[in-house]
Amino acid sequence: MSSDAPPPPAPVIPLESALVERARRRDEAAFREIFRQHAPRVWRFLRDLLGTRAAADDAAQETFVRAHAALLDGAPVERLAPWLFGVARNVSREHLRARSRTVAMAEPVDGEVAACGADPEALLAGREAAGALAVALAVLSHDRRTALLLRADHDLGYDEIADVLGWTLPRVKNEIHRARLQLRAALVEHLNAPEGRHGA
Amino acid sequence: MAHEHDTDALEALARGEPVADRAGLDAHLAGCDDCARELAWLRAERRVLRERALDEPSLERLWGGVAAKLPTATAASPPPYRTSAPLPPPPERRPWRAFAAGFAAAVVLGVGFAALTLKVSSPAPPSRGRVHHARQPSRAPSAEVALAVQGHATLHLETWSADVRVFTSPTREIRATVRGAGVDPRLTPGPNGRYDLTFNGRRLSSGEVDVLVPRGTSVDVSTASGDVTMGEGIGDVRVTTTSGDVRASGVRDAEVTTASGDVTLTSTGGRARLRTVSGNARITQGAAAQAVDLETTSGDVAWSGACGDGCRLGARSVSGDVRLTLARESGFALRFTTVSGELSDEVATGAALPEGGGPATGRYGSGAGAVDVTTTSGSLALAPREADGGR
Repeated sequence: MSSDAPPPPAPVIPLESALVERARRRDEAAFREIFRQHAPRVWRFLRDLLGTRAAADDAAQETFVRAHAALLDGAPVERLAPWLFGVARNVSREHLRARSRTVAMAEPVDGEVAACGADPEALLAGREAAGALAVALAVLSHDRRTALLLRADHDLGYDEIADVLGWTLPRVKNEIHRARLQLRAALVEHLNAPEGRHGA
Repeated sequence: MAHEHDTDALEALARGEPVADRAGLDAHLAGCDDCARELAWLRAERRVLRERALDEPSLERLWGGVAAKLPTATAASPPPYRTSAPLPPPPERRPWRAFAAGFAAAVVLGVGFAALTLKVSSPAPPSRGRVHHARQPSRAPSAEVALAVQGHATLHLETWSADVRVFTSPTREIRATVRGAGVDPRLTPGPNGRYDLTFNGRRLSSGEVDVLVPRGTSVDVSTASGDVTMGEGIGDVRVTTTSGDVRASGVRDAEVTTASGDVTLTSTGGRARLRTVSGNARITQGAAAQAVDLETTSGDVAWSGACGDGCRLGARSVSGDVRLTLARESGFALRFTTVSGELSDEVATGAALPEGGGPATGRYGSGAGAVDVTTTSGSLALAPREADGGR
């Protein structure tokens, strides 16, 4: 169509620590800015943990309501993103408990064996890769999926993930490593499956 | 498996970050197949995750739910919120439903658009619409343009996040009102009945666009996050959004492409084409289906209508479920191919997924139409339309 105009200029982003302090002082605009900056990532994180957009909507709203209350209560916040992911993780666990069922959609598979020899670029080149990834993520346990997403999708450091999950650093690295192997195996199994339904 | 001591460096490389001793790492990768494969996995993993990041929520809707639960400033509560000027204003929930209902009602009652929009004093010149400004008592500043059209028209417009609403009017003109954007709309006629609605050369990142068009006008709209709503009597529609929701009722043929927006089409003509990544879609076909093409990655798709002689209905899904609610007069041959999806057949086509793999095939009624559904893990449900009393 007709317009080649560039997108509007990016807004000036206030300093995170200043935003937190202002939000603690009941500055609504500051909290709204925190929401604007972090809600998309928190929502995506919750979508991948809970499996549906509707559940992510509910959980993301609950996450920010709790975060707001915690800020008013003076909760220590060193960095907003890991802190919000920690709140979101707790909310997601409660949502899953409320559902009284796991979101896992497939049986765990042996990662190191199944993924051996696969060409990842070729395997994940198709447009169905994103959907297959969603299915493969569901194979992982909630904690393992949480750790992997925080690292691979949200770029948190291992130490930050350790803080979010309350794990030791070696455990974080080990769980993420195993999560990746399990994920890849599930992807290989999913995307390499012959057309048509698997036999029983 | 990659050597443990290389993992951090490989991750950094996959992220495109600088790494210490890059030359040494490249040399190591050249001689270590496991590490090279690990790097390939990390890169592929990151790329697919980035693609999934295109699926974004409606922040406005989410914020509405959050704001409703935050403590309000009352006399009994602690010090009230204060607003800091440099930050952007709060997103507001847009009363599109109320507006749409009122708008449509006004047209039906013959009150017409004149009561709802600004009055144009004389017919617009053929080459460009006339712009009028006004500040309405309870709404954001608006600007309006109107242009008489001849013959069949196709309206084109694009926005970033401004919502777009298109309804029909009994006149032979296109009339567009822009609110809350601070720009002048312009209507420019092109060849073959094409009319471009533009906004000072910008794609609107805020505000609302309301358009009245003659019945039968085709509409082509593209937005990033803006919602798109279209009403009864519009011709063929083509809508492309990233995360905006799409609602259309009583339009002719529809082609909708979205990444994460939800789609609701009701009483559409015989042809519908849908592409969605994670948005859910509900399509109710008013006329007998002729060509229906549905494609989803993870969004669920529900289609309802009659698929009989001459109907070709195809659906492809990765993990989204497909539900087809079928009118009694339907008659089609069914083919369902899936990796791990399930089949629920409430209309008794006789289809069943073979234990050894391969497609499920069945037949309903005359078998004159064709329904072909392919999924990876998404399920297919076939159900009778209740209004027909089932089968």
